[in-house]
Amino acid sequence: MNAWRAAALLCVVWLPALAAGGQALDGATRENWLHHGGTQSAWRYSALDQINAENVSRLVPAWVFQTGDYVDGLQSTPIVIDGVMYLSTNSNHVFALNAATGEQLWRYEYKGQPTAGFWVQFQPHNRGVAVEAGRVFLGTFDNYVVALDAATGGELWKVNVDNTAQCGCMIRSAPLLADGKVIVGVTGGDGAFRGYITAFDARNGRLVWRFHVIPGPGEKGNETWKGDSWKFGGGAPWSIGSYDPELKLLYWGTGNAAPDFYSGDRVVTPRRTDAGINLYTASVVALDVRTGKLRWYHQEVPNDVWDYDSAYEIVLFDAEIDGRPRKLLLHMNKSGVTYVQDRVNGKVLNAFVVPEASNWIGGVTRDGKLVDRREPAVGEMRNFCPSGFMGAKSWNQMAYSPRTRWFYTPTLETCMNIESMPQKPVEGGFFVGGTGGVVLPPGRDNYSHIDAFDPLSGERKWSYPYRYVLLASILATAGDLVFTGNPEGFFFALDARSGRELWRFQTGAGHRGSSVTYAVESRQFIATPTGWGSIIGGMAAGLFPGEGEKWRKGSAVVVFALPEGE
Amino acid sequence: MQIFFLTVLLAASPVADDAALQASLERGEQLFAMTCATGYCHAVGGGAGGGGARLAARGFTQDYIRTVATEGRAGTAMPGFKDRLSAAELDAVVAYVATLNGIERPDIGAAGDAAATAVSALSEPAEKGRVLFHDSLRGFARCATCHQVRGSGVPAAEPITRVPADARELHALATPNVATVTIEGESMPGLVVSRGERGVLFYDLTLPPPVLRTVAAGGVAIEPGSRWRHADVIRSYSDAELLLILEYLREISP
Repeated sequence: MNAWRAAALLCVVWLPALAAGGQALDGATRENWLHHGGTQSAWRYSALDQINAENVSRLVPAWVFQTGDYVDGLQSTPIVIDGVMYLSTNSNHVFALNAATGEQLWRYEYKGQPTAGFWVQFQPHNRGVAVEAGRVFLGTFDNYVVALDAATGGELWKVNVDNTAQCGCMIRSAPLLADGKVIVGVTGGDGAFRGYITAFDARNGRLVWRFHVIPGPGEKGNETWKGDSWKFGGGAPWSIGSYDPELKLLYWGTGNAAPDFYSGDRVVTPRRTDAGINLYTASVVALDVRTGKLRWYHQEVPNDVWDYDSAYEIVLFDAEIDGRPRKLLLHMNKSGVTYVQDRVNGKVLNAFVVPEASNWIGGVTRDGKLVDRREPAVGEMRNFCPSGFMGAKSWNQMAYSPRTRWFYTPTLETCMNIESMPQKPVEGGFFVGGTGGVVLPPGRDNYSHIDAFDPLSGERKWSYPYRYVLLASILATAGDLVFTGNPEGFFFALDARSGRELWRFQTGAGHRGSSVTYAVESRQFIATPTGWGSIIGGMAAGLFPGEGEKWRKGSAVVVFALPEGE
Repeated sequence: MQIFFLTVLLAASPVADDAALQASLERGEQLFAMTCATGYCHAVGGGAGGGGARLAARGFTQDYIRTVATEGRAGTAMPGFKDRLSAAELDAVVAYVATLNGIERPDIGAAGDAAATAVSALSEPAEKGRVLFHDSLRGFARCATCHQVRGSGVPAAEPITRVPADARELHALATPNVATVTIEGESMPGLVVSRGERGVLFYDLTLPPPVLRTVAAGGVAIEPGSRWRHADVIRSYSDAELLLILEYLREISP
């Protein structure tokens, strides 16, 4: 071990806690990358600063691991604990690797039953595992949650969450570990399906609770659905939530109502916007982690008719507002409307629009009310920005730095033509209620950017433009760096304070996953998945004929560090 | 019972041709809605819009539709579905898209046979039983939580080989395969799948859904018999509903 390095690492471990005032929520990672979002607060921020704005230009590849699973790119977030990296791939293969060398320790291949017939819905994708107390947890393409022995990769338990062929749903997200439970949502948001979040006991796989996004008959909120429409009303919480262990509250974003573009059969008339429409779709819900009971909710898009999910990650952070320390959360809706809320009671404290191309509303008030909505219509194709399919960003996650107190997000500038069509539901089948296609907004020469925003003021601090669309997560570090990758294969670092590009490296394939950082024996590593793919990735490539087809597939983890001995 | 016989007889009569065509086209429309008219690709009913081409009123021949649906179109996002849909499913989709192009009585190929089987397969009560068996609104309290039938559901329990005569028998069902499994001092009802050198594989039946657990052979004790009762896990169903489920199981049993 290099003594200088050890000293440097020890220093950075303590600095953020002091900077944040000691008591404020600390969502930073250090040697380990423990959870999908780094920590349960989803900052995607590391306190490691061995690699910093001064020396990042000297980064070199340390090792590369080819997964051999080239199904549809690599969307994963690696988990790193005590020098071991746990990585999952789209075909539900799981690898344990020596995080310093890339040597494979074990490999597990999930043997499930791929569902034939329904092509788009059941394309296997996987965004990562969760690891805790010697167990590795995986959600599968046929709806099982599997626990593996972290030492051997052997199965410990597995339990079925739902019947894939019937529900049209599957698990693509990494599970969230909270309060001894392994918690998963499901896909199915564009299908005739009723979404839910399920919690299992991490020790033995036994069911602890299930929260239905759409309340059943007799439950509060069911009255916001017309007739039987609640049965297949969507709301699939297909991504991952966050957790505040002090409040024992779980925060999760829910999917759009189904059918996506036509609400005539699901909305009670006359519309009541004050109490919400089609609850609890397109909402952030706060659940008691012990029971799964709803504590509060905030519906971001009442009567969603654009496919504006609220399923994305939820960043938990603390800040002073008007001289008072507040427990907050930050959440971007797929529409790009971004909310800052008190995470104790859900009160909206700030709301603002992130993308530049935004014509579905006139704006949003500071307390989160949508102003001047324009809606799709039957028998007429209308143009809306941002696009519902791709979103103002995709599921790829933003990062939050406690040093700048800004968040960093990939922002997409795309639009969509939508025509509403009434549709009858078939359980588990597509239930889109219309049609549409993603198009580029006119008059631009860039279609995405990485933005730094102050969440409290809603002010954009800097913007790094990019010609195509950025579909990889952001990583922020105490070295005042922001990392991400682009579809052309470049992995790059920006100065977190200015947005200036400091370094780039061609990894050989497009970026659609989530990079992480960690340390082994005091050497800091930056690891990025690489390998273009996914339905949205294909759609994005199609927007740039003659160029998009150059974005390369693949499935590898490329890991960087400063040269040995430096 | 008379009603069931009538339905089966009708299906076997000359009307079956029309019924098979109708069933095949309905299946094709359903498959099209699920697989093709995603909004991401084609539009509902083959209309304009979506990322892909309009498919209705294009003057396509059935052969052309079959070729593109089977093999895909090179240089476009349209994949071949020969490995993604069964032959019968592909026939049904192709026939449905043919009707969108003015072909009123398309060739339904193997789909016809499958559809004909489907039409004659289930009586009305048995169809209700099928829906109840897989009823997603019951969550983990449905039969399919532990039983797999026709490839659907979780195969925790052994395949159903003998259908109980009535609801009473179903409640009182003997379950000799459910044992008492003890791990680290905790006893639980368990359905043992295998015991070998690598360990014991069993379904933990403490509460639905069943959890397939693997434990080291040395760390587990298995005693015959258990306090687990089938009656306790079928409580969400009324006796009348159980009768419909039994009718379904009888009709599909070999």
